[in-house]
Amino acid sequence: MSVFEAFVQGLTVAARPENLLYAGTGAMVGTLVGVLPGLGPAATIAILLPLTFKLDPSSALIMLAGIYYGTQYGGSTTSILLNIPGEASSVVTTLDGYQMARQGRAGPALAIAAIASFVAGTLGVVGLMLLAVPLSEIALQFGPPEYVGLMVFGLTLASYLGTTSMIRAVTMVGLGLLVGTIGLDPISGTERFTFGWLTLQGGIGLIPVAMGMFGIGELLSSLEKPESSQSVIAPRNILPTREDLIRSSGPVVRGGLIGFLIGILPGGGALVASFVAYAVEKRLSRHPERFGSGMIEGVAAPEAANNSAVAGAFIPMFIFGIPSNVVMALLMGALMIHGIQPGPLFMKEHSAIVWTIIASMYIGNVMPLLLNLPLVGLFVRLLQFPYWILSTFVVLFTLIGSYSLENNPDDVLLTVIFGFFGYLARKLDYPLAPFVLALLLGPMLERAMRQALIMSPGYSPKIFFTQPICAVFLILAIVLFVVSTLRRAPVVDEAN
Amino acid sequence: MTGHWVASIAVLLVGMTGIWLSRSLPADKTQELGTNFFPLLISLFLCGGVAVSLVGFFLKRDHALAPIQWANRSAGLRIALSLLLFTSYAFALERLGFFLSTFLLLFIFCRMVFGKSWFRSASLASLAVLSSYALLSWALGVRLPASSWFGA
Repeated sequence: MSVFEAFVQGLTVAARPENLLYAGTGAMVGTLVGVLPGLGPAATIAILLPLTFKLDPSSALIMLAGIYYGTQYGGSTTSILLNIPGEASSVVTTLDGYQMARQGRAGPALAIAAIASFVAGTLGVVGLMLLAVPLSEIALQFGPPEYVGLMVFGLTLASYLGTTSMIRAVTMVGLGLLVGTIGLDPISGTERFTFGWLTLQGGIGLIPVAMGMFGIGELLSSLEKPESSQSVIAPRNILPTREDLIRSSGPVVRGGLIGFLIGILPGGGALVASFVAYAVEKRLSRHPERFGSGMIEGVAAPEAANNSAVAGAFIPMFIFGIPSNVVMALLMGALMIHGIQPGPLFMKEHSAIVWTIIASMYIGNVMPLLLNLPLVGLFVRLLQFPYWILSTFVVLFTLIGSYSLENNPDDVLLTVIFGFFGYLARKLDYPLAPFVLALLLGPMLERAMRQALIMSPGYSPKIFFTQPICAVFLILAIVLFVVSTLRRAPVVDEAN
Repeated sequence: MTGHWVASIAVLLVGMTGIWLSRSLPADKTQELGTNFFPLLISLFLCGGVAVSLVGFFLKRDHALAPIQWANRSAGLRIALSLLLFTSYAFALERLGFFLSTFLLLFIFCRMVFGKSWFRSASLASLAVLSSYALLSWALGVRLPASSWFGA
C-alpha cells in the first residue's frame, strides 16, 4: 500500500463523526487550557489523560493530539493580548506580539499566529507522512547497542536543550533513571526497591509522576503568588492586511521547516524551535533592530515553528519508540496504556492507527484555527476567571485522575509526593522534563544495555564503541555534555 | 547553607542510598548481568556527578547560581496545608467514598488555602464534585470509589 493510499485510509477513519468530535473536543479543551498561564501542554495532557482511558487507541491519541495542538494555539493568545505566555513555547511570541497589541494590532497578530500555526502545522504533517515509512525501515536495523547510543544521546540532548545548567539537568536524568529502576527487574523479574509496598512492584508510573510534578507542583508554586487580575486589551481588527500576509509568508515557511527538523531531534521541542526560528528571522531581516517592537515576522516565525515541531516530534516516537520531549512521553504513555508499544514495528503492526493519527493531525490543525479566530473574546473572559476556582478544578482532576489510572489510592499518594518533588525542583531551578523522560526511558535503556553487554564477549563495554552507529551517538553525547558543561545553554526549561 | 548546597547533598545521599541498597540485590547470574547492575551504575553516576558539582561550588565561591526565593510564612503554611490535604485525600478516598472525601478536600482547600467564605467554598466544592462525577462516571464510565465505611 502506498503512502497516499494509507493516508486516505487513515483519513477515512479520522473523519468519522466520533473522531471529529474527539479532535474538536481535544482542540477546544487544549486551547482553553493553553490560554491559562502555567498550564502548558505537558500539564494539560497529564491532567486530561484519564478522559481518554475508555476510548480506543486511535481516538485517544486523536484527542490528545488535538489537545497538544490546541495548547500551542491557546498559548499564543495570552502572549499577544496580555504579555503572558500561556505555555513555554509562546514565550518568544510575546516579544513582538504584545507590542503589536499595544499598537492596536492585536487582531492581525492573533490572526497571523493562527494562520502561521495552521500552515506550518500542515507542512509538518506532510513531512511526517513522507519520512515516517523510510525512517521506520532504517529503525529495523537497530539492535540493543544502537538503542543504548540513541537513548543516551537523546537524554543528553534533552538535558542540553531544556535547561540553563547541564549539571542539574543530568542530575535529574540520573534521578529519573534511578526511580525508573523501582519495581521488577525487566530481565530477571526480581523485585527492586519496593520495600514491601505492593504498588511499587509494577514500578512508578509515568502518569502519577507527570501529574504530580506538572499539575500539583505548578499549583504549589502558584500558591506563593498573590491572586491578581489582569487587564485585557480588546483587539480592534481581526484580519491582517495584505502586506502583513506577504511579510509573514517567508517566516512561516522557514519557521515551519526549522520547527519540523528540531522537533525530530530527541530533546528538541516547540520552545527550542520557536527560539531558533525567531533568531533566524532576525538574522535574515533587513531591520533586525525593529524586532521586539511589533514586527509581524516576530509573531509568524515562532508560531509556525512551535506548531510544526509538534509533527516532527511524532517521528522519533513512532519510529524508535523514543519520545523527543515530555509531551511525546505522555502520548507514548497513553499508547502503552492501550497496550501498544511504539517502536520499529509500530508502523507495520499498527499502520492503521499510525495513519489515522497522521490524518487526524490535519483535522486537528484546522480545529484550533476555527476556534481561535472567532473566540478571542471568550478566551479573554476565561483569563478573568478567579484563579482559586481554576485551582480547585486542577486539584480535583489531578488527584481523581491519578486514582482512576488503576483505581488505586496509592497512585494519589505518589502524585502528591512527586508534586512536592516537582515544587522543590522548580524552586531550586532543576528542570523537570529530563526527569520524566529518564523515568520513561530508564527501563528501556537498562534492558538494551544489559542485552548489549550479554551480546559482548566477557560483558565487555567495548561493544558500545565498536558498533559504528552506537559509537557515533555516544561520541556526540560526550561532546555535547563536555561542551555544554563548559558553556551554559541559552535556553530556558520548557517544562517550567 | 544555601538551597543549592542542600539540593546537591540530598542528591548525593540518594546516590549513596542507591549504592547501599543495590549491594543487597542479586549481583550476577550465569547467563545475565545481575539485577543490581543498572541501579548501581546510575547511583555511582549520581554520586560522581554531585561530587563534581560540589567541587565546582568550592572552586567558584561566587558562582552565578540565582538565590532561591523561598515562600513567605503565610504562603509556606498554605503549601504545607495543601500537601496535608492532598495526602489525607489519598487515605480518605476509599474510606469515605468519592463524594464526601472530594467535597471535604475541595471545601477545605477553598476555605483555608484561598480564604474564601463558607458559602462560596461549599458552593464551588458541590459544583465541582457533581460536575466531575457527571463527566467522569456518567460520560466516560470511570469507576469512582464508594465508601468502605458507610457502604455507599
